[in-house]
Amino acid sequence: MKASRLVVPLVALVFLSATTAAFLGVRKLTFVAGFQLFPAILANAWIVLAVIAAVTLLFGRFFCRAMCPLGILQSVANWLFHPKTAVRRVCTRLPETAAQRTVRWTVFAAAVLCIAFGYGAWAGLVDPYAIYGRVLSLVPSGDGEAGPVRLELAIVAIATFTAIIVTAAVGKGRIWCNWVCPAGTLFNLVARFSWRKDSVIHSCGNCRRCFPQAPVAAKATDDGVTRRDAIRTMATAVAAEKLTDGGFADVSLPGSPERKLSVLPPGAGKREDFFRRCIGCQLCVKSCPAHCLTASMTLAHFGQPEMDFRFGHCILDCTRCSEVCPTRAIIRLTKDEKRTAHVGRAIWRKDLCIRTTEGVNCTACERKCPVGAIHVVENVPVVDADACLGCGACEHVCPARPMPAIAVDGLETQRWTTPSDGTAFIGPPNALDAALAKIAGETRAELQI
Amino acid sequence: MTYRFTADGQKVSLLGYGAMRLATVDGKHANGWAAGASSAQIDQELMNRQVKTLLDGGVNYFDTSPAYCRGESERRLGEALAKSGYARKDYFIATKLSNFAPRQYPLDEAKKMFENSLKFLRTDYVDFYLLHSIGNGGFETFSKRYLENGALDWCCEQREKRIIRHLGFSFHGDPKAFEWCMKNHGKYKWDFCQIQMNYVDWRHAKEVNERNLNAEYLYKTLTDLKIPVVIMEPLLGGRLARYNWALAHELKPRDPAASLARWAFRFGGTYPNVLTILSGMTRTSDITENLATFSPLKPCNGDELVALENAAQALLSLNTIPCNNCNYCMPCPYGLDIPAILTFKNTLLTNKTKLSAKESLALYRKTIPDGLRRAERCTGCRRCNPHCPQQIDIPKEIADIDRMIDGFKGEAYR
Repeated sequence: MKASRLVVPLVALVFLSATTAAFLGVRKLTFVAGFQLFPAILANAWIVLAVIAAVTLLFGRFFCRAMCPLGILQSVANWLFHPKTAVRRVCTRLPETAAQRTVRWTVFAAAVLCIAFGYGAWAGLVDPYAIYGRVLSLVPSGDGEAGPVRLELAIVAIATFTAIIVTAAVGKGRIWCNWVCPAGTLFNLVARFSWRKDSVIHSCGNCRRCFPQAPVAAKATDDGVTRRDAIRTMATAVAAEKLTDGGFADVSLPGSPERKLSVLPPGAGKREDFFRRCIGCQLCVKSCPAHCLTASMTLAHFGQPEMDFRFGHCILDCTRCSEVCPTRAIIRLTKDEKRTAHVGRAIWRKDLCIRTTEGVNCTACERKCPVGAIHVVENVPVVDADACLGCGACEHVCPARPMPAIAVDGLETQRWTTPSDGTAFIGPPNALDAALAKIAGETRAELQI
Repeated sequence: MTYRFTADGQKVSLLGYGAMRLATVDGKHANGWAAGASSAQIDQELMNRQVKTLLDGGVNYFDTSPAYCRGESERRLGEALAKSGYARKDYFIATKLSNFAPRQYPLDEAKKMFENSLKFLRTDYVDFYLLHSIGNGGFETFSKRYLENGALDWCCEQREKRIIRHLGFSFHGDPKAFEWCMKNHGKYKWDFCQIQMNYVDWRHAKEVNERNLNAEYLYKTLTDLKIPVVIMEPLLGGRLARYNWALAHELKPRDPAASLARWAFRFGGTYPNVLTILSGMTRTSDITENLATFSPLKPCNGDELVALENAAQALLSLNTIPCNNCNYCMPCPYGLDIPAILTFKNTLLTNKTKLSAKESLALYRKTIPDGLRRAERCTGCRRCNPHCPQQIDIPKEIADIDRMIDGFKGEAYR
């Protein structure tokens, strides 16, 4: 038996379980997300990239078979359905056709352009790691607390994931990896020059069974019932949690207020930098212990995190989201920096406040503000705009319904104080960012937009 | 069963039943049981059985109020007593004039409340009738509720007509109301008085809150005037019965087999002017245990009273919030589960091992599962404060607890 037959499943097991565990709350393992290709590129993690490149130059598309969670799961699905012929069917390198080349390079170019123009969320839709992350984000959190329901995200996540796995499982092999995946496209390019070709390539008889055929598409959507069921189950689970007790006054969640700018996680820095780098993998959302981060449902930033204060507010001493972000879209903050990080600004609405509507001497926002930025003066909660961090504590506890009377607006550029020189930070793009921003700028100039 | 006698020779069981913490079908009690209140229906079947057991065991004093259990208590008790198979003369019913809301102040409303009590309790007379929680909200409120509207005079008339057999009052709050009643004893001839008395409040009520009067003072004043005492909150809403390392440390070595509740009951029964000790026995096991304690009740000797005083001091050193889970503050207009929030802090304080920030947060979430009912939602409107018989500054305590929770979060999310 070839050593690779043992090594690949072992490494695959380690990476799959570690990545899964990272999303399910094992904080010590979140670093493995940084070993994924797109996060490593976006974070400019040169050492990781060098190691990945070295492995690929040695063993071909080892990454796709043993490190990419989506790749591993495709192999597993295929093996479950075709235990005897699985090895052939999951072949990750095959003679390319012109059509295939066109499709995959178009997708790749599109993804790069999306990132360059600040739509990392769209590139994330085809990133295998982010696809897997979005599926895991649907698992309820371990502390019994629930964040907002993101139905669109659930549909997109489950649909994409199921389609990919089902195509692999029904026996057509890794259509995804060889036709769509932008990471796969890069690996394929490098693997041409590898020392040992993929072990499977030797047994590849160019059978072309991994090529899409007409029925595949139909098959892929045949699982509609299961998908609907899955979504329905989720919806009930969430609804059951919000039972009210008749012995109490009725309570209801407030709506989400309209914001001029969404509030981004602390460490996002400049909005455009953040939107470029974030691929919407949901690791920060899953890691937020306060349940105040959630996936955006806007078209431009689909799946990228933003603050929703209905279920919690940002805790000053907590830096979890910036700790875990594998693409460094959320810049790593120290505890001290985090305590000074301004992510938004609270704005009071007189017409909604229960001081106006009910005449109650409510002091919830003043009491809750962790930095003492709100003072009730002459029946008006005055927000000290310089002190306000935008943590959302006031919005979270505001009793006004259906909309909170104090709401946070995001900032164009977040700022925080670095202890070394005491200057406020304005996020500089890293080397790749700068290059991409340049491409985008030149293209814009050329197209005169 | 140990019995005591009223001035007119009625034989009253030393253990009385308080219908304020009735069991609900989901196994909690209707006024809140440790981890939050319940909105479920009261378990009438269970209550019928419990009342029958109590009557069989010799208990003949049943205390209720129009305000208890979201207004259900009188009706439920009436049904349970009617179905018990005992005749009306075999038991005593105590109920109250619970006109707490300003719109209930007029005399007509009081009369209507009394008529309803008779109807719900399926009777044409009340053995013991109480002005409910005088002193709550200050002397002015007392005056509005009972004096200015003529409700007290009307009650005295009913006593002459023998529709009310004994007239008394329950006391919490403003000492002025109590002093006024004592001063006017000659005029109103109180037949009994209900006070909060247990080995903590005996000498330390004032320490817990300086607006309180010590039970020792209340008891002695009443005894001097020959007014029999009915004890409420002998267990402080279960705080003297549930496991508590400070109490266990003092009391368990003396009698390992005796429950903490037994000690508290024996304390009350030691004093001869006590007519009955009310206990809101939610669980059938409470009833069995209490019947054993009272049949017959063994008074404490001097040595044991010293031990109880030590236990009281140990409990006070924990600085728990004096919330007895009576739910008078509920419903909070902003939906908070106030008793559960206060109980949570007490649980942290009475636990021998200190919980970590993470464990404390988990306990908090378990105690109040609905995020919209937690401490952070307090608006500080202070509408709860006038209702609290223990005169706790509820918004202040809640704000403290919320700060503590934020501290736990800061530590746990580090």
